[in-house]
Amino acid sequence: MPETPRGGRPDFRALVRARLGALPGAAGRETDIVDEIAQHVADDYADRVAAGMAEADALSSALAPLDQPRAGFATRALGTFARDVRYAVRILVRAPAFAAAAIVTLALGIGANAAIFSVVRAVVLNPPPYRDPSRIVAFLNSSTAAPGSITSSSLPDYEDWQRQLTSFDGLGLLSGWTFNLAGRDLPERVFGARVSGSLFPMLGTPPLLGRTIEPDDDRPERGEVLVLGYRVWQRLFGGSPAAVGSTVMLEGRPHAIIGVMPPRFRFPTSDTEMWAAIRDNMTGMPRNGRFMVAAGRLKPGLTLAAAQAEVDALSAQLQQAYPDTNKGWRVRLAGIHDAIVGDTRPALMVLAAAVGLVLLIACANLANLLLARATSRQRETAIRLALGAGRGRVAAQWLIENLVLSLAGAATGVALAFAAVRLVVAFGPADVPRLDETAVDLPVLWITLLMAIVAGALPAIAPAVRMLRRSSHATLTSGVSAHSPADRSAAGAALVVIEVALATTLAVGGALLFKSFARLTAVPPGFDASGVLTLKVFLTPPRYLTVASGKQYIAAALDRLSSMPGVEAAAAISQLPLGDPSSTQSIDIEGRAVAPAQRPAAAYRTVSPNYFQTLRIPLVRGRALTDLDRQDAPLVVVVNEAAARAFWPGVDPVGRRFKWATGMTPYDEAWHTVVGVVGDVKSSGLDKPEPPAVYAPFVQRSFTWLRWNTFVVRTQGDPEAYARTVREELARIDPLQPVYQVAPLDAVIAGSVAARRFHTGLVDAFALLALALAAVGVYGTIGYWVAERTREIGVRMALGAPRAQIVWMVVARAGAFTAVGVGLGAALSLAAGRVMSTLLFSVEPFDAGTIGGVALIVLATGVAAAAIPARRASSLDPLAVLRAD
Amino acid sequence: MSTDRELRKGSAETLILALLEERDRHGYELAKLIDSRSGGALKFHVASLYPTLYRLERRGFIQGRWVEKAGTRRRRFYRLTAAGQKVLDAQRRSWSTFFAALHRVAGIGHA
Repeated sequence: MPETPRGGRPDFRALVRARLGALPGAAGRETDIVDEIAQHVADDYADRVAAGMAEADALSSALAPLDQPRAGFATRALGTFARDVRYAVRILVRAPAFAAAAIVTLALGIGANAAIFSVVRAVVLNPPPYRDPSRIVAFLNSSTAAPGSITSSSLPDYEDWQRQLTSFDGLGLLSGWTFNLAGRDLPERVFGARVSGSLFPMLGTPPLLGRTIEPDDDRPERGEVLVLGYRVWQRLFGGSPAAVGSTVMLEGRPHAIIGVMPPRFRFPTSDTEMWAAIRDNMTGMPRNGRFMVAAGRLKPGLTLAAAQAEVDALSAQLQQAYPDTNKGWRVRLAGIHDAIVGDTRPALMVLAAAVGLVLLIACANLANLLLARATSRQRETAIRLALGAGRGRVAAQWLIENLVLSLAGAATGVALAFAAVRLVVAFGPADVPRLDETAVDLPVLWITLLMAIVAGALPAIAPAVRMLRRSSHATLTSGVSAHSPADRSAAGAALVVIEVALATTLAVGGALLFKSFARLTAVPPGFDASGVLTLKVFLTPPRYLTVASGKQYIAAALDRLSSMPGVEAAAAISQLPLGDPSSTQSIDIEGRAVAPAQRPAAAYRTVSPNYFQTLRIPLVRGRALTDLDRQDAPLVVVVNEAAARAFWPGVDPVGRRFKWATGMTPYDEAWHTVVGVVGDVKSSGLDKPEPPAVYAPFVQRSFTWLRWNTFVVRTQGDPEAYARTVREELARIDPLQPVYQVAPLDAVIAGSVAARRFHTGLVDAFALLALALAAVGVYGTIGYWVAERTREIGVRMALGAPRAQIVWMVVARAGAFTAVGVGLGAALSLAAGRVMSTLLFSVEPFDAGTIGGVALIVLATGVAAAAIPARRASSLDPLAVLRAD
Repeated sequence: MSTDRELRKGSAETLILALLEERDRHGYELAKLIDSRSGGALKFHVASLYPTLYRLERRGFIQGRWVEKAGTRRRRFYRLTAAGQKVLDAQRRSWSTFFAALHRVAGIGHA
């Protein structure tokens, strides 16, 4: 053996040095250490040889301890960690009530946050799937005449932008379009858009299949092409790749399907499902026909402000060149992402804040549970410290125990989040953009893990520090906990006060939203929706190319619908209140010449004469429309009260006349006479004032682009029961015209507030959750306080204190905690009021009644949570208590 | 960390301090004594003994010094310091309390 020089004593120094490796931490002392250990080995060797062992065996035995593999730092740490985790699990299994309470608390907090974060991520945070989406901006028109309202763009303006603006790499234009898709088994009505050839290249999203629309597709000599959205491709074409290359009939013309877009592609809205080229469909549109969506891609390196400055300069030029149509109009550029999700952001941020509060409350609750547990484990810790465990080790063990808890809570929470997200996607409101993209995906899981670690570690800090500060000695020697009860109670009280404060803030927010929602849904819509079924038909060319053919269809449909058994009346309107956007036109009032830019505007609706009776909209003055107001009769209209007030203030509008001012012949030539005034209805939202509106008999309808028709059918009984038969009736007139959106009018109203109902419901659910968690916190703290005072209470009772006094003592303490928390929470909710105000309808964020009511409820909850501990305290047997001591 | 392991680590330190309380000793002697006095129940081998000694020395509970005698190699002897004496006393108290507690709880130890 090379280690044993023949015939001599082994060189122990060399042998030891070879086995000690780098000797961590021994720099400078290496020689001494090797010397010392070599001496030890030499002694051992000598003893073994003296005892009769063979030299070689003696040497290997003496060296054996040094030959044992020494684990590296990482391996040792990992081993310690695994041991700690096992120990933690054992400890928690032995305290199932504590573990269950902690895990459920965390699961609710973390689960709610994971679910809402998923929603916020899908709706607000995820960038849209365009190439470099941050450079794409929308052109938002607004008029100084109607500040704040955003309007779309017109084709002539767009053409000027495209010619003159230099800040953009490309502009694109789009017009919403309803396609009746024929040439397949059944006619389908699909909402889509006609787009300029430049739009898809500007957005830069690669298609899933085939190609997108290109500039050349705009040329009239090319065939018509169609790009499908993913969902319509799945729904109508079964997701078959063979769809690309096939031909469908749109508006009587063959369109070749050239491509399919990926699932996440939407432009401009979620319900736009197919895109065709504009070609010459918009030729001749006037400069004030602002109904198209324009967007552009900023040149690299150019700021939004610089582009805005150029657009402003051009807007000023256009105002001068076309004062009639452009005076007072300016264009604001907005990032496309903001333009799409801007409206939903405040509501979602309030939701995120609400769940954040729930998590904080859950953490406070956990901290409280841990404090109580720290006390009961005081002796265990003291023993471990006495046995030589480092304080760091004990603290690490604590931390790991809490991480095990919080990870178990997070796992349960993620399961809850999966279920919640499924519900949200299934039942969430349709008008929250991209809500259906919500998923608990990998980034959500990472964030959840992070939340779990923070939620596990944060509440453990205070109890861990507290426990380690105690001397091991006192605890071991005294029979009871060395933990000062007053100290423990103070920390617990602080936590409970924070919990109650946060829960109060959340409850105030939830109550304000609830009150706002109740007020909103109590707003009378101005018509009687009960028993009314609505259904839509969009009449398309070539069959309904002329205004006359459309009128014939409507007349025939009303005839059939109103003669159906169980139907009291059937009427038609171009734009259903709360269901369709308004179509607004400028007017010239007789005898009141104003500059074109100052012209007033009115919503234009065409109706069948019995529309007002059918929906029970009151006639305020004059007469309603009748069947005598035929196409060849003088042009008449009925106006709403808002129009009467705005256009003819202080005078009787009946008999007054106006002309349309669309800038197009022949529409602007004929006078229309007001024959009656009807009540205002809520047309664009229960929370929005009704604009001035004009109702014309549909037989006198002249605008060719008005092709929407909604039928309102007043039925006896449940309107939904008629859904099938009305479809069948209309199919008898023309089987190629799809009937869509068949729904009770009540449901249409409910749909108009669906987004509000959604976030109000969620915030209220979180507020209840917060209140429940806070109640558990109060219960736990008071229960602990009573347990610690068992002896004191026993003495008091032995001295003759009545039970009521004991109950009062406990309840007063709970009441005091809660009251402080409520006060703090009320102050917090005043601070949060500004955030809330944008979401509230006819409720002030500082609504004293609401805040007061919530304060009382929280206070009552806090006192109620103390009921069980109070009962326990008052039913103590003083003799038993004193004897046990 | 399991209590069992802490017990061993803590008890090792206490044992070393207790053995040094009698007189100064070198490492090999300490290892042999622990082995023999515990009847072989506790064994300390070289790889864990010296780190423990150095740790105690770093904390100031014991102090090592080299002693050279003619004809033999130099050896490192350890001495209990005043601080070490205090710790030993404190640990003796907690140990007796601990055993008393064990006895109260579980009936361990002599009645």
